[in-house]
Amino acid sequence: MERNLAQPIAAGVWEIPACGAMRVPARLYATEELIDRAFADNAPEQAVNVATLPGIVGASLAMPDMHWGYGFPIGGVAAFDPDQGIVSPGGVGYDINCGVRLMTAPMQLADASSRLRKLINGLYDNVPSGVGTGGGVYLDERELREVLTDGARWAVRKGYGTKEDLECIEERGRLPDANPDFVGPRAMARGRDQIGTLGSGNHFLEVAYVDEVFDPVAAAAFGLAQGQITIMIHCGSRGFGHQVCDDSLPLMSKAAAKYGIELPDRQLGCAPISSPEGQRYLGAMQAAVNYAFANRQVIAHAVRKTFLDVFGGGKGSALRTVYEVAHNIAKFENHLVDGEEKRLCVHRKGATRAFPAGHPDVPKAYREVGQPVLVPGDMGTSSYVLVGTDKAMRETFGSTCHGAGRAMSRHAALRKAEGRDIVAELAAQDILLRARSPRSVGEEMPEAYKDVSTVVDACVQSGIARPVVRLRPVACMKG
Amino acid sequence: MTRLPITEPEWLSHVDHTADECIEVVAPSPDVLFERLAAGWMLVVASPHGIEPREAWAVEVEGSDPEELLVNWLGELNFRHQCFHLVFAEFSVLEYDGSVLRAEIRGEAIDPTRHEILAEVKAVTYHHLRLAQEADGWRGRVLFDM
Repeated sequence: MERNLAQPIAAGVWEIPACGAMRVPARLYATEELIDRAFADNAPEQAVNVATLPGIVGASLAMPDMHWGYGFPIGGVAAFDPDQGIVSPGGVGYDINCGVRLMTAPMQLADASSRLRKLINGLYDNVPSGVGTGGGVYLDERELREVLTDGARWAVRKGYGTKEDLECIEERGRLPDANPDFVGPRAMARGRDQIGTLGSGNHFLEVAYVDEVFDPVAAAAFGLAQGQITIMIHCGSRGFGHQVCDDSLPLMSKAAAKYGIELPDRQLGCAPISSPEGQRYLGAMQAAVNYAFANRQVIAHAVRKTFLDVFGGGKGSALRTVYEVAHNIAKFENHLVDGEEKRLCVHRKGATRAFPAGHPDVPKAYREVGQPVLVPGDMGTSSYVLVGTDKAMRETFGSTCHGAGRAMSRHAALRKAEGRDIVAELAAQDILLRARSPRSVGEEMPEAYKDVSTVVDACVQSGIARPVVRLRPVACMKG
Repeated sequence: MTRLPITEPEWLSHVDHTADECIEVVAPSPDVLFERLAAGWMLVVASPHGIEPREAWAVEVEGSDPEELLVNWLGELNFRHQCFHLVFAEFSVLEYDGSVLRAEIRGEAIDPTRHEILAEVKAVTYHHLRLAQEADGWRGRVLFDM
């Protein structure tokens, strides 16, 4: 796709006007540098394809960390009218409700630094990780169905965490319309032993400290102070969610044909939201969303246990959940469309909800400042906590970026890592790394990712989020 | 029958892709193409060293066209690998007609002391998917969501 098809319409916002089969324009949020990168990939073309789908409202959006994805671009956001619109697995992704939780520990870097090695080794022992990992909490079918229905609430009920955790999870850790009856036997089989497991690839546990505070008021509201120790958990619905997505794709391709939906790309298979096929996907997808909420809650419990082992009673048991966000999800939310409040099915794929101050879905404790937005970077540089804005609510259905995004293929990263000791390089920067697989160390090395700061800058430039704090990693665990 | 090669075979190549893993395979016939694509998938997922053909399993998949059949074939192997913790050493396509594939696969349960699992394929996708007869034989390309 030609780069000059996108015209700047505001600071950090580019528009590809609606033409041909497009029902709405495509809007790309990016700096000059990032928009060039985006066109080198085919994310803008994918955003244009999404703009052709029935019932799309406003615009097909792509956040600053956009890159190629299955059907929708990663970084894609699209909202659909519940009566006229569609739901698409390509708009959610394979790792349904991949997301991030941030917790704080009541200690400063100086208090923790002498025990970081013991801490990361403990996390490595207590949180199963790696490719094809089972070894989590084993569930029989009845209990798995409870997980799919109740999400993080199931975990808290079982003693994994506290009710206070639930207040600080997007949707309070549960989507109410999950339907385990719509989940296939293969997904049920894959879900049996993966609750409480991290997985592999770009999933991680990271201990960091607050390196810089940009917004003292919001930081104080979130309980984040300069030098404070934080823990970030990044993972999703594991094999269960992959299978739910996989099972849905042939059904959705057939549904698109059945309902006369012309698809510019086979990967945009979809069904009308109100159709039996659409309802079936929504029920199964929401079950996977709940699976992921439960997964992160159980992992958070293992993190607490590890802190308790390493730091003892008071400090170890006082890990507080700042917030947990979903990155890959479709759900119903109310948004203003032409001045009128409408219920829409918002797809966010590699994008984060970023609701502003005053929104009723923001936890009470944060309502005066807005929703925390968690943006992980790579394991060698930094991650950010941002806050949602009114502008995001008006322009992007309350959405912003979700991370840095890869700059290098896995093979290119492995070639670049050849002959180097990445663990030692990170140690020289005072970052400890434990990983199950030497290969994942190479594939996930810091240079394999774009600089998350450029993505955050793009969000700030366009006004769809404000920076609150920057976190610098000190110990990281990869699958 | 295609045996999992220990060294990278000349019929397999990797297409560079930023976030995911894309392989391309050439073969003299569609049957062998499907076997080699299966072996290519296994090489993405695991080191070939130490994988023995100790047990055999029958596989039968269907698809509305050869492309869907390929996605379902590799998806089936990926499911068995992840859910039953298996790795495979041999792939034999017994019957292929473009919409149905019957095969026998041989392998064993994953033994962490002998097998190295390299990566997790979340799913087999239609992106960049290609199946075509060319001058030098059959060519297939598939991208795995990682």
